[in-house]
Amino acid sequence: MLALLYVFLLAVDLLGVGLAGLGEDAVDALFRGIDNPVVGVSVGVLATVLAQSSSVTTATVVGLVGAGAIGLGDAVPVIMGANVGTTITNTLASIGSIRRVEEFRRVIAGATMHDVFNVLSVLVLLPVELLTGALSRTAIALSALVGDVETGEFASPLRRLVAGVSDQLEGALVGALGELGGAIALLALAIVGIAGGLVGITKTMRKVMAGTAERSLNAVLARAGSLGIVVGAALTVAVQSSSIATALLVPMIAAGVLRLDNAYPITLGANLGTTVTALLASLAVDQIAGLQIALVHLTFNVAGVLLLYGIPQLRRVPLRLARRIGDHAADHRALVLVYIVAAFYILPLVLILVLR
Amino acid sequence: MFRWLRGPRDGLAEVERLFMEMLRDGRQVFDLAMQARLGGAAPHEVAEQLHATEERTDEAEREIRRRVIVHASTHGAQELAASLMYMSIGKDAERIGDLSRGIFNIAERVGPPPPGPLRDDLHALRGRILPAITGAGEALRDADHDAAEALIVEAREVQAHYREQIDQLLREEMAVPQPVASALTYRHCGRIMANVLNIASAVVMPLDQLDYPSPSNDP
Repeated sequence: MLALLYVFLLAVDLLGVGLAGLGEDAVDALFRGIDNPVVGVSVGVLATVLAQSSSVTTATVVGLVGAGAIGLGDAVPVIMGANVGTTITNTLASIGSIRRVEEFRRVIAGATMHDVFNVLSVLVLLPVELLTGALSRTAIALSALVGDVETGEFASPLRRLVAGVSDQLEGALVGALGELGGAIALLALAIVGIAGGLVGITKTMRKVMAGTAERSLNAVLARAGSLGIVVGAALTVAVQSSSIATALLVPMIAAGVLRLDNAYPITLGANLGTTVTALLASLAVDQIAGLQIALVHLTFNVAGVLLLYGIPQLRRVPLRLARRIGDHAADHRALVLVYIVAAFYILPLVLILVLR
Repeated sequence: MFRWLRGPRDGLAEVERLFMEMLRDGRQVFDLAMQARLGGAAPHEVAEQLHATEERTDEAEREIRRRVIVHASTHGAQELAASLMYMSIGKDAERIGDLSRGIFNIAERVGPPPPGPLRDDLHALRGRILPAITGAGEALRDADHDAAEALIVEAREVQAHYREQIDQLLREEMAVPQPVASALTYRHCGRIMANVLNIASAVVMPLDQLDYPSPSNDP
């Protein structure tokens, strides 16, 4: 388990090293257009859908921001898009119930509840961030507690653990493949390391935590409320994947033993818990911007929960919309496939191609 | 046979605990119902306790279903066989309470049969079913193959006896008071014993053979 964590942290560090090796022009070309917030959100959605993990996206973004490849402001929409993209896992899982109408109605409502919550959060908080910079300013203020905002340096104790190995790998690969070849190989290693490390951590922890997850879910099965948020967050931190944590709920919602309003706070907790991965990744970079984007991820999700769960009048909105989607989906089941392909693949791809 | 599937202290241990409670409650409902049917207690004296206990078995069955779903969601297919087994025998335990309430309903309508061979036979039947219910739970808890197989044999004997009694009542070869009520009581007792047999079969039979124990598919 510690080895997997080390691989993950090393991979985040290698991302910065590899990007530095590519050169400034190549990096600029790679991320051209990402300063458009709509492109940023679309990149976040598409990257997460393709990786089937928002943790991979957010950890990669932390590495990129920490390496200076993209700015903090440009990375905020990408992080928000990752939140939206992660909900595809549950929606895909719900297709397993497509032949049983009532079960499908429940399970689609359960899956899209997470979609609706995340989309509403982005619709409200992205304009707020663009107009006021509230999320990034809060993150910068919080980062000042542990690092030097003026110089941009962040003396992470974990960085020292990976820096030596990272330097050795860089030396070996650049020596063998040349400057550009070495940089590309380092980037490939980084992406494989981040994704592989997280998949390994998730698989291991899912097995280890199965009993605890069971007891926790039994405790909140019949009661809605803040305890569900705590359980959702704890489960997600434990398995390092909000997709896995919320996917546990799908069969329970399908069977009707977990009601939508009781599943809702668990889902919100998963959104909060998933921010730990980015915070963890930020410990592998020596620039405070990496920590700041991880803190933006945290403040964005906390703000979303405070807004759409903390305000009683708004709390019911995602649930009502999700139930309505569930009803429509049950009546027109083929549309769900269209929705998945259009919303998670075609729309973000088209937006990226058109607006980039 | 499913003992090793359940694991040391996982969620299925809690399901097993709930199941044992259901069996204890089912046994109590049967005991109260037979007391009312055989004149050991007036129906109105035991009604409240009987209904409360039976409702508890119904709720326990629902709780078992919920816990099995949560267990399957968190553990995947690794304990699927044990999960399905508890779904199946949970229904058997619930039916024991349900059928016992049927016996109580007969007692409420017609009262106890007058003293005689039929009443003595029902007394004897009660004396065989009560320990069988307890024994089924113990055999499952201890994964005791010998006890389960002995219970299956006992259950078959009881079933053969009640079928014979019902046949005689149908053919009017037995001149007894309350013939219909007696046939129904035998029928309910026989069905209760069938559910006990199903529970015992879970100890020794493969999952696909649950509820169908026969000499041909004995392990």
